[in-house]
Amino acid sequence: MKASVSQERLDWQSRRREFNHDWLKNRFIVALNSWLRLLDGAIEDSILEKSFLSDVLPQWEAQRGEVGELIRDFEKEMSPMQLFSEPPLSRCDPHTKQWLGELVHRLWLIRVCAKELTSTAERSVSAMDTAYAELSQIVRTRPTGDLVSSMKPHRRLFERFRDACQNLGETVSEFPHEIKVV
Amino acid sequence: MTYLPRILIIDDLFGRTHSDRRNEERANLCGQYLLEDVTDDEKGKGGTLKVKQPVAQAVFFRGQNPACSTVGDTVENDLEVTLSVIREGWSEPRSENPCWSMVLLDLCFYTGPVTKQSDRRASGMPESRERDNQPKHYFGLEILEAIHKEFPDLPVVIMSSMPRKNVSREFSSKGALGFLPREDTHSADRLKEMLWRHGLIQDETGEIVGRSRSLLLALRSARRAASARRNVLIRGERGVGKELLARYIGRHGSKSASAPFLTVNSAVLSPTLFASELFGIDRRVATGVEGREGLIPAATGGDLFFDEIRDMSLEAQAGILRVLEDRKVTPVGAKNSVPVDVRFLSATNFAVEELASTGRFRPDLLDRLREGGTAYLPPLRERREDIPMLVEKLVRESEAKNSAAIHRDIDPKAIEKLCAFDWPGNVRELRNCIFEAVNNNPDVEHLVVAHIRLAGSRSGVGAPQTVAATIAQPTQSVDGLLQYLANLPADEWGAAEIAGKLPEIRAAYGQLLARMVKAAIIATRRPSVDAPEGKVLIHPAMKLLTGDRTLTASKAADLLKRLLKEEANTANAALDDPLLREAHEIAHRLRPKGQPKATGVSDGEVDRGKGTQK
Repeated sequence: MKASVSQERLDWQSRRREFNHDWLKNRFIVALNSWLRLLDGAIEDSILEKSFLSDVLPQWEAQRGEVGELIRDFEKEMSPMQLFSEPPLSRCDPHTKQWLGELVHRLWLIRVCAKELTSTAERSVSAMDTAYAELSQIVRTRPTGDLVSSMKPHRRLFERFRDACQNLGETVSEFPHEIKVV
Repeated sequence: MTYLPRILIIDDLFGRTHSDRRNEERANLCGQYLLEDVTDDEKGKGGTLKVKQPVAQAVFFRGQNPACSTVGDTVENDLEVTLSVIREGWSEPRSENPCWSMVLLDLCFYTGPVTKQSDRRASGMPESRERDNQPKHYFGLEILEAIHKEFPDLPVVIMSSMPRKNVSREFSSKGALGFLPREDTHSADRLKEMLWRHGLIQDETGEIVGRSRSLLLALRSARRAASARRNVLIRGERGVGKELLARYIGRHGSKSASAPFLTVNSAVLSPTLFASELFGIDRRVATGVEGREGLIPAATGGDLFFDEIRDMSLEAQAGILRVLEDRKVTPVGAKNSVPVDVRFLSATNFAVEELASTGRFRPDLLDRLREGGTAYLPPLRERREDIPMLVEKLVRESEAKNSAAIHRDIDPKAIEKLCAFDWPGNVRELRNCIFEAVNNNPDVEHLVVAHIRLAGSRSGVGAPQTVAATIAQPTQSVDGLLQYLANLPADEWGAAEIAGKLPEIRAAYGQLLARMVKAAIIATRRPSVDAPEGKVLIHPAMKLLTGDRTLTASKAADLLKRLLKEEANTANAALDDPLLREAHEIAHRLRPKGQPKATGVSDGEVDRGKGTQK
């Protein structure tokens, strides 16, 4: 059974879309991949060279909080238990709402593997954090001179960060796209 | 000159422009996919991306209005303009640009007002509307549907960051050939693969010259057939370059670059000699007889190309069939067989199915020889836009072969004349013509009209026409064509020459029939709400074609199937035409079992319009 989705509940989907589709996959990972090409010498791009470390890479810090909230809010906002606060299920007596809501929620957790999804996403975020911290340290302490040459030895670390981003993107895509009761 | 495929990318984020700076997201996508941006809308905006070894050239288009949006604007999807951009590079490509090799299409296009908030997230991007994000309403799918309808041959691959599984059924059913995740790590390699499998791309070695759509479609079907490493049958008129296509398949489907590619003229495979030629001779067969490796064992690991299989003796056919079944050969005089791993490529310019139906060619062998598919090489007259490139190459080759010849420019009027001719002998005839022109005029710096001698104009005004020139003339009716055929000037060519031309005559006849059927269908189409271009109505079309008002619907269906069957037998191209294919499907639905005996149709039948079986 597919339930109707109220405007409030679309918020989680909208937030997910803005983070995962609009920012992470469409812009951040694409820029990271382009940066890796730059390090490989496959492309030359003076703008990317100047802006990547100062403007693009640090975007993760701004988005970090958003994805944390997204993962945290998932269970609360996407659980079919929410449907008991809207008609027609809101018309159930409090006792029924409680036990049935609880049951529906527990069944849903199992059905969508909610715990596994959130812990996988958290692990991806953590992997990104670790790689990002190392990269930040490298960027802070980098010697003056040619930027690309100084970053080339750390290509593997950038790649690890990109892979973690991709894992996170894929995991966030795996979260349900609508509220389903059964 | 390095050739790069040209792709069109339709995407709201990467297709948008800014008035004062470049589109950073687009530059990054080009960096990731190794694309050379040739959109020509970012000049003077500073900071150019340089891709050292691009995979393709890309033209970006937003698919929306306005292309350059700022806060306060409202962005709307624009299917009409999107289709006109596609059309420009597909139906009417400018001479310096090849047609689109492929379209990469986004799925989700954001529409609505550009607000300060949405602009902060991504400059010039609007707040999306709820409908934009619903897979069933994706604008990309709407574009895809329209492309499939108007440009059925145009390869489209979805490039999106949306989860593939959510839309795979929709994009497959609407004709997309694949899906590229936008953030893919191996994006450039994946794009290369997609271009190789689905794209309309030129022969990168330059051996097969041309970039006409019909040639590129032929190359694509050859690559697809090659990838499975199964036997392929190549069809096409004489002189179109069937062996070159076989070599192309060999290059693309061999296990290694050094894999052997051997050719054999099927006519030499006589009943007595084929075994020693193909299987070899064991050195212990008899005293004084030297052992010899056969062509099949020699081609192991690679390809063996049989030229004109209709000339193959029945005995040779039986022998080859055994090899195809057993995958081993026994050299003449040997006691043991030798395993072989050979792909058989074969070519014909003849309706070999007819020979199969009369027992002159083994149908089971024919099935085996085309198990990996059939590739059709179009005649030169169907790809005239390739003639300038071919002439350039052939002139240089001719100059290189003649030590006395100096480098020459090619006069545009000479190109015009060469493009206007129908080239019944196709590329081979063009090559001969150019070689002759260069050899006869080695000391001049220009190839001009006066140097060119075409077959039809060899004897000057009033000379008897060649068979080919006769066929090439626009013929107003089937009766007219038959009249031409009946009055062919056989004295100059001789009966054997005429007999040799029969496949071409038959092909021309079949194509003419197909064209007439198509014209009748177009003339009788009836526009409706469902089909604004007109619904295909085969009954009135056949009535118009035959002039027979009493023709019944079932007879009309039978007649249409028979007429198209005639063309399909010869060139196998009629049913590539979407309109004719649709008509054929309608006829087949109407008369699934009413298929008359496939022996062609006479002019009398058409004129009487009875659709009777022979």
